[in-house]
Amino acid sequence: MSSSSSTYFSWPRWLTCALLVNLVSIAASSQHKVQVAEKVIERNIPAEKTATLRLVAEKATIRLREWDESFIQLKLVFGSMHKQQEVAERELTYMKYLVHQEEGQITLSNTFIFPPNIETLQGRVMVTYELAIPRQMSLEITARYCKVYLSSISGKARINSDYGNLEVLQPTGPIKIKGNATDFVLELGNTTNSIQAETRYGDVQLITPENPTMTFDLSTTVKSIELPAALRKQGTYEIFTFKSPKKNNSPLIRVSGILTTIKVSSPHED
Amino acid sequence: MNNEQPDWSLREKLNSLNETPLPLSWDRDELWDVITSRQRRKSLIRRIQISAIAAVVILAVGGYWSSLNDDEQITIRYREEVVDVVSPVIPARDSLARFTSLLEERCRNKSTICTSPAFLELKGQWHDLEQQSNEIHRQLLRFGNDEDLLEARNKIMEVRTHVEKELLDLVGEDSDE
Repeated sequence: MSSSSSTYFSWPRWLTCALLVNLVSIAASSQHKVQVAEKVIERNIPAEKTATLRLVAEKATIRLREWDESFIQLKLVFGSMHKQQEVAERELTYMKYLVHQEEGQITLSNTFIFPPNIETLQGRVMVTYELAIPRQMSLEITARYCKVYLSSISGKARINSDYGNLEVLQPTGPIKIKGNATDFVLELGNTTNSIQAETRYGDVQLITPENPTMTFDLSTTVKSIELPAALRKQGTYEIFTFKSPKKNNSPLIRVSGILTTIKVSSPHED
Repeated sequence: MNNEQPDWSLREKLNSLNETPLPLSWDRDELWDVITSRQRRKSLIRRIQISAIAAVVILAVGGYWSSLNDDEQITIRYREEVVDVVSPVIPARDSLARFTSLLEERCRNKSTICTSPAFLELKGQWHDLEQQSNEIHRQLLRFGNDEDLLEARNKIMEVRTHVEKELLDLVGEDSDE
């Protein structure tokens, strides 16, 4: 009887432990295993540096750099993720791309085409562009829901971004950027030519070289401009507007924003 | 052989090469005219055939050349991954309606502030942000809880909250003008 009663009382303790372990595992189960199906498209596209690359991207991560070859190296990865491989495979087919070559212009584009009976995806989809382009090639990027990373580009570039992030590191060619709800990080080099950025609802971070020689013309409405002390001494600073004196042949960095915080930082300041 | 009467075997041969028989004329000049015209037609067909073969060869070589320059490789691969579960999207319609009615209420006695350019500009931006938020919401219905879209939505919501605060700061507390 006593043994049976001890068994009776030990059972809930064991059950409690089991429940606790279960609860902990449920708490930690904010992670789960998924099947990933990927389609990798690799292509070399002959291109002169006088040509323009037009990239129209949707919901993608774009990494672009320059190289010394006379062709564009494209690696486009479509990824689809779901608990069931069958679903991941099926949704992978909803991602389409286009490469179109016309005289002097190469167009790359991706889009999502759902079958008529599908309204919502069951899994998650990802698109990644990895591009190497000939030096000094002109660029035109139209990005929607994209993360764009441009490294040391020397050609002329025009970028339009809706919702996302844009990082331009050490550009030397003249750059024009238009953004909506896109955060910019612009790292200026000693050889930066000029940058004109217009943005709304996205923040701008300008990283200058040690002793910046460029002319700054920064303005924003409602939010603010943050400047390193050295730059504040150089220019005229009012609330939401900063102008530094124009130096001969110095590159012009003009940023105008709406509801934008513009932050300028240099390696030895602030 | 009689020159005026061509050989029947030659006539049959010529007929077998062509669908339409030779004219039933034994006039020498007329017959040779027909023969030479058919020879010209044959040589034209031959030339077209040669040109077609040449074109096919040129296209094949061209295609091969362009495939050397413009090659495309497609690979399909699979793997297993452990990912974080994204919490479901919670629409914030109630807070929107509350803000609109609160602003209307405070503007009732403050027509000067509420018609000032600064107020109208902010209110215009607030409407623009509302439209953008709706657009992202539509995309979320297509793509589900997509991280990029949720990030975009959070960004818009953050700015909208800032604009709402600015608008309420402008109209101030609920007191008469």
